[in-house]
Amino acid sequence: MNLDWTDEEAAFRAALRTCIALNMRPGWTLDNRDMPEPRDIEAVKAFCAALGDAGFLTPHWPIEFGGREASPWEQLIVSEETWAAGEPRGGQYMNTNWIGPALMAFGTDDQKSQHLPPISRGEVNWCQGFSEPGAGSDLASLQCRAVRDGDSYVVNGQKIWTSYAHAADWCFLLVRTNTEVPKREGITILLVPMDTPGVEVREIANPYARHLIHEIWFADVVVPVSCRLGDENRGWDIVRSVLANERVGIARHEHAEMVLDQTVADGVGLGLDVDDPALAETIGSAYAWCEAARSMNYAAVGERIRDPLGARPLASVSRSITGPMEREVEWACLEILGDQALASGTEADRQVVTGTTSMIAAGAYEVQLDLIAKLSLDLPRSR
Amino acid sequence: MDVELSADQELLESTLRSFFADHAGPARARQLGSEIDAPLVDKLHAAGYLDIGYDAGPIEAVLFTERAAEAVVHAPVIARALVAPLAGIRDLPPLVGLVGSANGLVRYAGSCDAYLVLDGGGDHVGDGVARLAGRDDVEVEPVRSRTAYPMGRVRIRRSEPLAHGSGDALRRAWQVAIAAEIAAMASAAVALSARHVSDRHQFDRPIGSFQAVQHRLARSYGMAQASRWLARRGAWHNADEFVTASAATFACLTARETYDNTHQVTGAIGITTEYGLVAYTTRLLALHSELGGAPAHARRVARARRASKRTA
Ligand SMILES: Cc1cc2nc3c(=O)[nH]c(=O)nc-3n(C[C@H](O)[C@H](O)[C@H](O)COP(=O)(O)OP(=O)(O)OC[C@H]3O[C@@H](n4cnc5c(N)ncnc54)[C@H](O)[C@@H]3O)c2cc1C
Repeated sequence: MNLDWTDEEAAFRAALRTCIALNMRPGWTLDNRDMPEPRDIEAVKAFCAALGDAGFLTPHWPIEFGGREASPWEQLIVSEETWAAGEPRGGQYMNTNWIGPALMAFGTDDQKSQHLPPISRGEVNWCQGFSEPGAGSDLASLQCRAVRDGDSYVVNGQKIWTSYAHAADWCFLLVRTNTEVPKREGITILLVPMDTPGVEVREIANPYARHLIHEIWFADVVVPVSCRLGDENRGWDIVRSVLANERVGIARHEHAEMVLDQTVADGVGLGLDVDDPALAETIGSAYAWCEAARSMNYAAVGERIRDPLGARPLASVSRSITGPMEREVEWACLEILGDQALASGTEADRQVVTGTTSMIAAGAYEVQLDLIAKLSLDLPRSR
Repeated sequence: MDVELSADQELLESTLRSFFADHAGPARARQLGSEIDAPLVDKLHAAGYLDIGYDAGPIEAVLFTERAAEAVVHAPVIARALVAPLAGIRDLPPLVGLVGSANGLVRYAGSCDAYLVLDGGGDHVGDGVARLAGRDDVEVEPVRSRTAYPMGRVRIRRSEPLAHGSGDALRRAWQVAIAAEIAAMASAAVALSARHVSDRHQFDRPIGSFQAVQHRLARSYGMAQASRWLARRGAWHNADEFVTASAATFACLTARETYDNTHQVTGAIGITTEYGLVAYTTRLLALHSELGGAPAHARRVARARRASKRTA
């Protein structure tokens, strides 16, 4: 065990930080990550292209796909540095973390050569078409239907809560292709161009952020069979391995500490007494949650290196700390700034969005606790 | 970065596990009551384990602390094995008490060969220098307590100042020790409770199949794991109070959560001496309260962060 960053890792971080500072649009914040304005969509692509040019977008990818097989630690460093900067990759972190790897593992040669180069050059935005009105935590009950018609599928149905849908060039879409079998055995993955006729994106109103969540409607959308990832009806197995990659290595701790730092500084700027003992206690406790999340994230990355194909119980443990961390930081920020926190534009204000959604988006907190009960504690089955 | 135990560290862990399985355990601690486990201390001393922090390193010392805590080693050995080496304090006898404040309760107060005094112990308040007192330099007043540690107040009559900066170093090292001990005891309490809820049937099913029960234990398990990894980082980065005080703060939150959750899911049997959960939970109470507890640790986290931002 050696809990220092190696010289190479430290140098990698320093070079990455410089690259981010040089290429990020000045004034970028986590609000821009959802790409509410067309210029944000352009900024994400320009930033990711620059990152790709410098070898920082997909360093962990295999050499044959343009990476250099950098360690998961360097992948984590990329996440730490981009999150600390308000995630100027927008939704493209998904491309590099799990969509690209899913294509490498399950795609045809044509799909790999079509999709991987643009992803590694930062040219495309993807969205994740999983959730539906009737299929949230119980994702496998999804109903969006694809019916085979010669060399194509015809897709009808709805996806919901989709992030980045308005900015996406492609959708990684889960559809039902068989209704006669147990629900996990009738799911297929389609890679759908978002400009296909019949695809319609609608923003869902909420008081938190513009273009945070969307619906996608599919009306007789024709998708060539060549856009299917993996075999028909075998999509669930791919999704499970994909979600394992989604779960680890998102360095939210780094961003949360930045938010606290900034909010304390904002408080000082407003003449508030941030050293008041009771407030200092709240602040210190929130930082401690961040450090706990950081520690667990590192442990989960270690587990991923040690046992990449295993059940990876620490991934769920890590997420069970990160979600509550965001809420602790949210409430600490509100207590630090008081009513001032509610004025738009502060990190404290933005943290309300992150805190509100962190234990829901990408899988409810309770589902992670279920996984801990099963994988780590071996408790009797509840159902 | 490498979070894996080396082959030597893994060997150390498994050796310690079997050593403590043979020579320690909650039942033995219970029988000893207010006495410490002197034969075990002799064995640890003879085997060189008490020098592990000097001879091997901070991770080895923290592994020793984790294994000793989960095995409920009933003697004040952590100060010598982990705290003193992290704080750079040498030449101590095997049994060392940690004194935080003039009136504070000290674990194993009456059974120590020496005492490391943070500040406020005796007349030397707040000068940032740790002090060392011998057995003959102190008066110990035993204090009856519900926790499974023999407790007492230690009045310092004479003490030697240690090096400049030793007070801060001692406090940081102590924060790490609190975190490592809480992490290990919380994990042990969760494991014991998980066995209980798997065996105990009500409403014709194991109570551990109720999601409400599962989630209490899962939450504590997660926090205990995070405490463990954060304590290890604290041991490694022991010069950085932001990390060490974060470790102590989060561990105290874990102690509270685990105390409540494990007692809740074990019902009435959980509070009995015989069942054994209290061996861990009443110790968690004491560890949770040391050095001012979560509020004081958290304030130190905030202060350390502010100071680092000012100098950055
Ligand atoms: C900001 C945001 C962005 C999102 N982005 C995307 C995206 O890009 N693509 C996408 O496909 N989806 C996305 N989602 C959807 C997300 O994956 C779902 O919200 C999530 O899976 C939970 O589903 P649900 O909202 O339908 O909640 P439900 O499944 O209805 O659950 C509601 C609540 O019930 C409880 N609950 C549910 N199941 C259990 C259980 N088994 N045991 C105990 N309690 C339970 C939990 O408290 C849960 O929060 C996003 C969501 C948000 C908030």
